Amino acid sequence: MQNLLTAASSESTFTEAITPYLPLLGTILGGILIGVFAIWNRRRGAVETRAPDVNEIWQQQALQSKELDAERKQRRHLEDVLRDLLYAFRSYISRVQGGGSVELTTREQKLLDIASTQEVKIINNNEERYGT
Amino acid sequence: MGTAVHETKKLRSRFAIWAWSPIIVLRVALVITYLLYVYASVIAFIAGVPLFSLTTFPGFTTAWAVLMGTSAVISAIGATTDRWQKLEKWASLVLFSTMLAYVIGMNLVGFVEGDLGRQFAGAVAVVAMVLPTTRFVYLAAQSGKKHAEPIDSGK
Repeated sequence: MQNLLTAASSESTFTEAITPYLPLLGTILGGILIGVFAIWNRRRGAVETRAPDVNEIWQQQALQSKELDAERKQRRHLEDVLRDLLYAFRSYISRVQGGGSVELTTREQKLLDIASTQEVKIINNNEERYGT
Repeated sequence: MGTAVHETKKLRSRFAIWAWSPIIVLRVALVITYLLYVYASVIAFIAGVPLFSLTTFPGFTTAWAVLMGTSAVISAIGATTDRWQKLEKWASLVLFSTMLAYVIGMNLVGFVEGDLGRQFAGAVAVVAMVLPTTRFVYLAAQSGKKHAEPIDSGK
């Protein structure tokens, strides 16, 4: 063990040089952090407020999760519509290229109608379709 | 001024909102963590720290242990109530810097020597630092804020 310690100490001159000053370095860095925050807060005019209590945190989280859920739901609806449109488009092209009918199927016509209306309409249609 | 605040809020990224959203860490956990630092510093004071025996001059470990123990005691006292946050901020700064020395030293020596055992201990020390460091950064972020008028001062 002693040999190991001696060997280690002979190899770590850089560490030897720096380690005694690390607490000082850490204090300076932390002091700078406090100072930067202090200047930033003063410039921003931030007013100190008490920390939120447990109930307020939970209420806030519930509110945010509702907003996030709504956003996610809307995005998924749009993704579904896009996927359906793309699928219908591809199948129409391949059918026509293969010598099939150029007439739109009921499903394709429906998608065409949806695509020509507003975004809100698309979401509403999807809500009917997916029952959400 | 109000507009500036509004703009700053608008500029906060989704990551910043996520990262700064508070979750509940019970006060007792913070106080216990500080007290465990006291426990560690007492051991360091009595038995010494092998890393510092290797890399620093004699007497450093004693001073380091005293500094860490004292700052941890003051941090623990400061953490008991919100009114003493300022005390905790400065004490946790000293605690943070003393512990940082150990963490950097451990990982540096471990890396230089290729000593994975030491690096493991260094990694564990990093884990031990997370809670006090987060607390310190949070308290530092409160620096320089103007004091709001107390709402329920009549009570």
